[in-house]
Amino acid sequence: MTGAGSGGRMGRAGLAAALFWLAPLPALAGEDLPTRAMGDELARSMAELRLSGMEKPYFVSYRIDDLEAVAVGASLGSLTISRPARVRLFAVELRVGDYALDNGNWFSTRGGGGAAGVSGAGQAPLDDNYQEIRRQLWLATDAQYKSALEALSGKRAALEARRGPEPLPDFGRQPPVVVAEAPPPAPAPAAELEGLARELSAAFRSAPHVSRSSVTISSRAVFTRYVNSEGTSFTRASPALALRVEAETQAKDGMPVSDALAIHGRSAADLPPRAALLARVAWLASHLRAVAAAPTLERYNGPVLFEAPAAAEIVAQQLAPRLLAFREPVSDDPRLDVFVGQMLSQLGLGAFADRLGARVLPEFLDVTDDPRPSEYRGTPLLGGQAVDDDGVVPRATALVQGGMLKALLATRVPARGAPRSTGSRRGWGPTPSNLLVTASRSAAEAELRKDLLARARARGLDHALVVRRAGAGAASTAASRLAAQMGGGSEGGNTLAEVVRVFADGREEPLRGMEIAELSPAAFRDIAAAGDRPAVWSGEFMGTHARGLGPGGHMGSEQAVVSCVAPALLFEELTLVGARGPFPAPPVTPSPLAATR
Amino acid sequence: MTWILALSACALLAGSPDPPAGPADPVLEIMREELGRLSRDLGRTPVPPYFASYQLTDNRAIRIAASFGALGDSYEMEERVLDIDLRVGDRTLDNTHPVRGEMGLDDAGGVSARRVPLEGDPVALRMALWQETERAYRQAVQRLARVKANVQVKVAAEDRSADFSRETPETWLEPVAPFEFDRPAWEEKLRRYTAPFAGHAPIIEAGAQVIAEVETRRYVDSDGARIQTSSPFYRLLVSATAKAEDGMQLPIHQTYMSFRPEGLPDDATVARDVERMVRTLLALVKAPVAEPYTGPAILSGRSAAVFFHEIFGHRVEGQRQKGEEEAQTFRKKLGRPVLPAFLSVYSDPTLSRLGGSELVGSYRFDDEGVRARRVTVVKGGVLKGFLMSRAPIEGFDRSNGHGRRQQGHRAAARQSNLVVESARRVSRPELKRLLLKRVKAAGRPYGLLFDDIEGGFTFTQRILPNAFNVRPTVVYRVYPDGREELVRGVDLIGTPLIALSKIAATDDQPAVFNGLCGAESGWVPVSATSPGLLVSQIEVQRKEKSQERAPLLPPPPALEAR
Repeated sequence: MTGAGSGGRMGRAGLAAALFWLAPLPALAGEDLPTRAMGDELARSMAELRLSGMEKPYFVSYRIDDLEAVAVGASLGSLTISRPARVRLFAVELRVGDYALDNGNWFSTRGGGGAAGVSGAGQAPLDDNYQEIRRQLWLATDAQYKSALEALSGKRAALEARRGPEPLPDFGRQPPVVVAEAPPPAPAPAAELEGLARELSAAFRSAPHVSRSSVTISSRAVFTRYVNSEGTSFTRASPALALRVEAETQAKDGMPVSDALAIHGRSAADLPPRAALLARVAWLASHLRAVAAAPTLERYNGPVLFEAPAAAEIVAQQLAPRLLAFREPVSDDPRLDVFVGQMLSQLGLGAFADRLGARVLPEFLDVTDDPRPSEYRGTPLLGGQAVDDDGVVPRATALVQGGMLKALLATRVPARGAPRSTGSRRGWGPTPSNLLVTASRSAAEAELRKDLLARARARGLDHALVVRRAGAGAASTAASRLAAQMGGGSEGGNTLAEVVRVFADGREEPLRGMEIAELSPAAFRDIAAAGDRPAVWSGEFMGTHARGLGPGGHMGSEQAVVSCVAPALLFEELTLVGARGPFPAPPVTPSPLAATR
Repeated sequence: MTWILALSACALLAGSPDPPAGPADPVLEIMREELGRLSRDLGRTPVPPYFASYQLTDNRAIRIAASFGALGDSYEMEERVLDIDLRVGDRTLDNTHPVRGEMGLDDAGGVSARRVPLEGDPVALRMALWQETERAYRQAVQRLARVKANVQVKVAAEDRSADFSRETPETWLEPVAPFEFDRPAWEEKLRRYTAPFAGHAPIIEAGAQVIAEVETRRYVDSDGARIQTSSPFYRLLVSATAKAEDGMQLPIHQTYMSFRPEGLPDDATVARDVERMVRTLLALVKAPVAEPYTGPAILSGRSAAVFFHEIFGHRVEGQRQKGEEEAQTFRKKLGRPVLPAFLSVYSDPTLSRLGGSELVGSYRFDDEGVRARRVTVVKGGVLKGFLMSRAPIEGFDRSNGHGRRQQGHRAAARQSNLVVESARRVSRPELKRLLLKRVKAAGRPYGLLFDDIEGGFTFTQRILPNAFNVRPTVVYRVYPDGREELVRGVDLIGTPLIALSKIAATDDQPAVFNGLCGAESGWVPVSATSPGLLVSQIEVQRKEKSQERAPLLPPPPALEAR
């Protein structure tokens, strides 16, 4: 495939306007008071903030995010919510010690540590009130400095008590950069989104078999200002739009059957035309009826073809978390080390730290993380940004070449296998931007099908499975179990959105309630073939399962949106199982929609 | 545990005493029809419901907040929430019956509450009602099975009263109140109100918020009740916190509430109050820390109101006499003295004003469709009655209109407007003289005067000591020579029966505390009114204190032109 081929274009408006130079922002007429407040308080903190007899901070950064958002929801043609929001949030990161050993990467059972070890956040005034913004920064910096001193001394004491290999530095050095993006355009007008939500959701009025349906649309404009004590400063515009249509019904045996249509973009202009959207919603409703009536399989062991959109989704949700570098924190309690390790591994985060140089995909596949392209053949790619949350300008990173693992995505916090930042920090940890999966050997769709059926036949099966769309089923079972333990997770469970069984004669039959029993790293390595027509999938990284757990969430926002371009992938062997319940009993009364028919 | 805070509240009614008889509201009609249809359909199941109610609550609100002269938040919101109370079994034993000894989440303890379409579209509304009724029914059937097993395996309950009372179905249809609020003007006002807090280093937090809302409730039940109430409510809250050198945080609050936008105070009044707050805070950071103390004290009217709400009001809520885990302080005290003979107490949700103050605990119907009414709780010191929801207790098989809840919770008997009246009133100077007399007689170096209070909490269950804690913000030591000295850092603590028996006299100036009270049925707005009290013995303990030292650097300087 040629996804990376379009990578050189700087199509994104904000990106094209980005400037890079090595000097502080000049003070302009009508200067930005929040920026001035951050700069002035930063200078004062670095020069004067010191508890007598203790160390000064060696690194301070401030960040202010102006968020403007409109969220609307509707059901059956009627609004359920319409809420504009305007909020300004700030964050302070402060480090004492030095790059080799500081208060970061520390987790304490006695309070403090974790992400809170270096950063604090709060709500700043909406007004450009220099004095009040500075006052908030002053108090947050003071609190952060005091907790940093405690964290550092606790960490030093814990390190004294143990012996191990020479530790990695706690924080990586970066040359200062200045990036200036203009503020994003305002979010779409509420009335426009309300109209669209009403119209799309009204389509379900003629679908009495759908027991629950909803349409939500959110439009956001985030403008970030950032300064740090190393001379880096940036402003960054992050406009985002998300449309989600959900529908749910129940099969005769009680199994809940749900499906969703999710579209992400930068603005309402990225949405398909209204007529096309309506057609997709109508298809969703009728598809749901077909799936509810479809059979399910108790289990299937054999080859599975992921069509391109499903392949892109499964790579983004299940392979990508393994391609991130995570620093294991020092803690004062070995039980905590075990716990943190378990959490990361359940989510698959950083699982490949020791696999560098090893084969993780077949030799005909490459994976690159590339923040630069803004579209792939007319479909927007949404994961790129001019500068990451550490103030590092990201670049393309070859993660897998010829099937071999070459690099991991990292932040400024060095981790095993990732000594340097790849400019991938979003939220508290590294997150992919646009993942481009390219195949040096590909096959046309018909060939792949033939290949699939041949492999099935070799196992004595008269049919094989094709996954068209993954949806909630893309998340790993371990991650969703963990999310459920923490009180999160989605209601639809882990069911793959669209699975069909194909027979030797080419006949297709939809299946319902199929889940991936387990998707081991080995399954990716044993991918047998790839298609020749890549597709784009964009969505929240690690889905709703990871909200609040995974990296990419920041300052109370949603998970980062990532894009993945991948061709269809034929997995040599996977286990898919039918959802086993127990399921809720079907309704005891007819729905009003059905009753009035 | 139950709490009261001087902060935000929910919604209230005001208006004409005559039942308005407008045309039926279309949303209410849909609710009635759908309740009828579903009751019929569910009536054919093996476990038919014997009662069901829908309550649909519309909230329209504007909230604006500012801090130190800068706008922090400003938004308008609208939501519609559905509460369903669906009961299977019968009135003597239904799915709401307490399951004793059960651990974990009790799913059916709460009523299901869910956001439903805001607009009046019948299809969308009917679908939402159907979905939630199905869910509520399923939960109710499951829970009834557990209830029945639990009743069999546990010892007989002491109180064998029924689970649900019969009440007269009411009809009351108020038109939806208009929502009027000048948002830009109030944004500017709040900037102005909070600006004077800036420039005082010890004041680390200071803000004001105004919340304007209209709450419209629609209620229908299977007994035939149809009730629609709609009422605006406005509140302005000003809070500020100073930090003393030793790290102690010292908050004070000022709240204003009204049912009319013009009922909020004018600029000059707020400016005066803010100035007083600044003065008080700056005095508090320099004030000495009070020592643990027992001895005589005066509680100002506002402080006494919170004191009564916590230590007395919660203990006359009906279900506290029945729950097997409750301490049931007053269960066997009916007709016997529980307070000094000069005190009487009533709870009156129909009262919307008292003296010059509006009362936020007023409403016309409670959350179970029962008409609000005045309840005499104590007369001449003797206990006369309890606050009742539709959950009967031994000797009280009817509600008296005190079944209240926050959306999403099951209603319980809660306070409304609690009023304490005294037959032994003296002037304030006289009350102080009586205090000093007792100080001298007890050989104490000083007495205490609790002037203002931010809230408090109490435990009413058996598993914990039945203590209360009232959190004063402005406290003075009163020396035998009459001198008053501001002190900081104490909480007022004690146990209810002892504390109530120590009330010696009252002043003649009742004061109102309007606030929000949190307990098992969520947060509900309440008021308490009491004269100032002289208490012959009170106990204070040191307040828990922040261990964080004051900021290392001075506050940032003002912006200078470059």
